[in-house]
Amino acid sequence: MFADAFQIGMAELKVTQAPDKLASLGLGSCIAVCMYDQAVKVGGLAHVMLPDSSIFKENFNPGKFGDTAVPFLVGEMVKLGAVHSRIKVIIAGGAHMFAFKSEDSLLDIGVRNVQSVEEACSKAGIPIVARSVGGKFGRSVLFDLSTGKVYVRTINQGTVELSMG
Amino acid sequence: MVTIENLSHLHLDVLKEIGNIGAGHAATALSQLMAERIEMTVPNVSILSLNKVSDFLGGPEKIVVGIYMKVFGDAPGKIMFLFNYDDAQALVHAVTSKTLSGVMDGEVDKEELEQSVLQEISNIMTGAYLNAISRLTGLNMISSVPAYACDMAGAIINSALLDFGMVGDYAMLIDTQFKMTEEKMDGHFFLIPDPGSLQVILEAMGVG
Repeated sequence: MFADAFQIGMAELKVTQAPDKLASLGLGSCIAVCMYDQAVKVGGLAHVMLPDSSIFKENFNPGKFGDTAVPFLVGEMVKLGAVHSRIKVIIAGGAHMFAFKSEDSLLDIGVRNVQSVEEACSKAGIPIVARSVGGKFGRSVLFDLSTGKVYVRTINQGTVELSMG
Repeated sequence: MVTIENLSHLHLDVLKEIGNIGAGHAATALSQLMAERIEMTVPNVSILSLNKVSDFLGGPEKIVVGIYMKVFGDAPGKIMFLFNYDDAQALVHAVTSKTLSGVMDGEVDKEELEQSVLQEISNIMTGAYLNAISRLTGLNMISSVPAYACDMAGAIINSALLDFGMVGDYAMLIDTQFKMTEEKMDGHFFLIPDPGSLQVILEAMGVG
């Protein structure tokens, strides 16, 4: 069911509408930010790689960072007819694939990615209605804009369905 | 300042040669460990757009075993071993059946032992690889303890490339493939210099 979806690679994002599907495969510490307005079936997916764009001075990809991806997705969705106050978010990813015993948990990029997306969503006033984050395993995400459902596939736990509902 | 975006053909050749010398020593180390012939390909310097990284190596959802090490010292970076799941099993079997067959029957957590064997093989190969590069360049390079994961290829390889995201939209990997003909297994060994280490390595080789 992932085959007919638009593939959103690392640091990419795409905003579109039903009946399109968006997918990000093999997420580790990256996060798939799935944003949706149920009433007009407009949505977007950003494959966020890093938490914070402030280290970056030159032009960059807004989908790469948590703090820039969220407002950018909102802006692009509004252009396609979404209404800011109706937008909801589901997030998946933010795993910690390789654990080094000596490592400080503050350096855990997955956790920091989750925090940055949470902060950006709360700043934009957009509720996170479901999530599948953390752990030590990879995830593949499929976002169906016809239904607003997000399917999260892992190797050991099968596929879990999250709903914008 | 040399960056991934402006590497010349000479730079690429030098990086390839560094990979070649490192991998030659690593292959010798593995060959001694296995008492078997190891074949290795000429290294490939891959420069990939970040959004395409996951298509590399058979797709983002392929199940692979990854052993990940950080490199510290004058030219920091990462080292990553990637094996198909079945090949990792074959490699463990090839090592343990010759030396540890008794232990395997005892009260040992098989999975833990397999991980440990793969980590140790990676450790030995990395030691040989970095030693050779250190001697060649005069740069001090040491590796961290190895960390193990078995999961989707995309999730594993991306972990080693995050630093590239902080400076641009491309990643560079020096990739060498190892083959054991008798066991029909092959694996990838990646040296992934941190973005800031490129200049350091090329300068040490006299082409910075």
